[in-house]
Amino acid sequence: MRRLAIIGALAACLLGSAPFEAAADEKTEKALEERIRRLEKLVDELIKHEGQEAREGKEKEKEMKAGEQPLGVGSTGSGKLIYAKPFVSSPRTTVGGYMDLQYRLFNSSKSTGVGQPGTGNGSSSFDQQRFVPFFYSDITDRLKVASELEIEHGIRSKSNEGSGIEVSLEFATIDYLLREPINFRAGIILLPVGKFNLLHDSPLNDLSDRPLVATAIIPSTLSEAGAGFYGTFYPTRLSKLDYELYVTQGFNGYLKNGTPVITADAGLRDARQRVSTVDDGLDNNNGKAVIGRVAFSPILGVEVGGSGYFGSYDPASKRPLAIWAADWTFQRGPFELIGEAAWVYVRDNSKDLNGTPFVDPTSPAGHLLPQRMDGYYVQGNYHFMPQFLRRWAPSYFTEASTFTGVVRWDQINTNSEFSDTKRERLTLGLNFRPISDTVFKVDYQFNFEDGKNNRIRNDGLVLSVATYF
Amino acid sequence: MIWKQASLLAGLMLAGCASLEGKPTATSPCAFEQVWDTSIAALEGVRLQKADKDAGVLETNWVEVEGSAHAGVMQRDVNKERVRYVVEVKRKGRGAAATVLQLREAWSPMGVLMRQWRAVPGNPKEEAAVAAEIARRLKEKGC
Repeated sequence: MRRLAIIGALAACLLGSAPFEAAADEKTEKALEERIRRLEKLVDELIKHEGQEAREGKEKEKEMKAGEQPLGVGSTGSGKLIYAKPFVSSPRTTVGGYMDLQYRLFNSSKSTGVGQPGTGNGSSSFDQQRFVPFFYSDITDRLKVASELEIEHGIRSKSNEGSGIEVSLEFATIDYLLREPINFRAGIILLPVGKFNLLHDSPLNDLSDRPLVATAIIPSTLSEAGAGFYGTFYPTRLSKLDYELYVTQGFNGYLKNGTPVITADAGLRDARQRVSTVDDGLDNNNGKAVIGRVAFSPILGVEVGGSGYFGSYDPASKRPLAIWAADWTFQRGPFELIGEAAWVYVRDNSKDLNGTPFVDPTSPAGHLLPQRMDGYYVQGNYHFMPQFLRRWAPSYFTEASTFTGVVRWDQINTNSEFSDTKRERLTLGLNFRPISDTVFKVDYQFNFEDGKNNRIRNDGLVLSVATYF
Repeated sequence: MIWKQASLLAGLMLAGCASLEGKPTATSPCAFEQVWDTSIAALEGVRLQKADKDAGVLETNWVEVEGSAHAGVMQRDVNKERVRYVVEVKRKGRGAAATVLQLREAWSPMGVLMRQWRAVPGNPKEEAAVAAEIARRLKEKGC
């Protein structure tokens, strides 16, 4: 502004005085000298001002290079404000995400399991299931913030009758690092029940659909608000022991009107905090849940884990809900064997809140609501890369590229007292990773419901692509 | 059944105590004390977490190193790796031998991987380089 004023004054002085000058032939030499002095003064002032601006600019540049001070509101002008956000310019924050796309082609439109993607009204469908931006901030060496924001089936612009658009934080945690064996974590925590829930990102998994046990029994993505500790011990030279222990909000087993939501059809899925009908996801009772997992790796490539969830699910906090889970990972060369097993006990879920036996509204056979559930999956992976492909097209099949052949067996029972609530699935898959963070998958599923008696022919093909970005 | 599972677990745990057989070793006619001191000197620049002379074991703290893999389709340079060295010094005949093991962990800000460090295979070339450095320093001593 100041600079403009000076330039304006100069212009006025030069232009505005022109007629006056033309008429000044008869004026004295003294008047001309006076005008020249004024001009010289203005030029000097302008030179001084420009020098000062240049110095200030250099100082600002230095500050930004040091990365110590993010751009502030001092960066004025409406067009500049967006770039003044510290997360854009700060090297301490990483913004990224992952997304996937599936094409599903099945024999029928019947559901292939609770929490499993469907095909809409037809038997085939494209499904952009997950778009998940994430943010990671190294606030200080000891203080970290990590989060994943999930947008499921994001093509929908608003809620509809069938299902609402799902936008939620899968996790958002503040970590305060104390020592390797003990660190503090608080926020929306990805619960360490089983291993799959902790590694559920689409680009990490070799098959398109999540295991049945990880959608009905341990309903991934399973996260709750809470706090706790985690850490790592190194008991021997080659071994490693990781643990996590948290206190969190807990499941909510009922709608506002007392209708139970833990059923054979939905498993535990509809009782998660993220779909709880209590306002703002707040607690439905005074009980809190305790969750923990211990994973021991005696050598690189071998890990066995045990985990548990203990809380209550009813408004009076009198009915306990427990999940026990075991998981395993064995890797040797190109072979990998992974899996997870889980058992659930939901005491008194077979009775309504008044204590009267309650028939499961989702059970065609009229069973009471489930008190026990169980399930497991076992998956074998074989990683390979035909050398002739590398020779033939080295820019497509690089050192970082790999193919993986996959076979997985799933079994769950969402009401363990009966056999007609059992589901089984065999999946055969092949995927290609041009780089480790991007995967193209082809899977074929053989789906069974009560494997022997009531098999429903809803086998299907799933093609998908998933990548981190 | 429980005994079977317990014995399997014990077997796995014992595997964790396995020796460093097959790892790069600097063998020298120098005395144990000299090999021990030289091994410490060769790890200069890295803080020692443990130096148990009776057991002949040196362990360093974690040191962050350049990540070998890039992240996501944009191949961003945001992944981290860290290494820790374990050097086992043992008497061997009149001399001694120092065996080097590198433990390596990786971390990525990509999705759920941002939650914690995970173990990855060590770099055999870097293990060999540390063993070679110990051997070179011992050779300089001329014993």
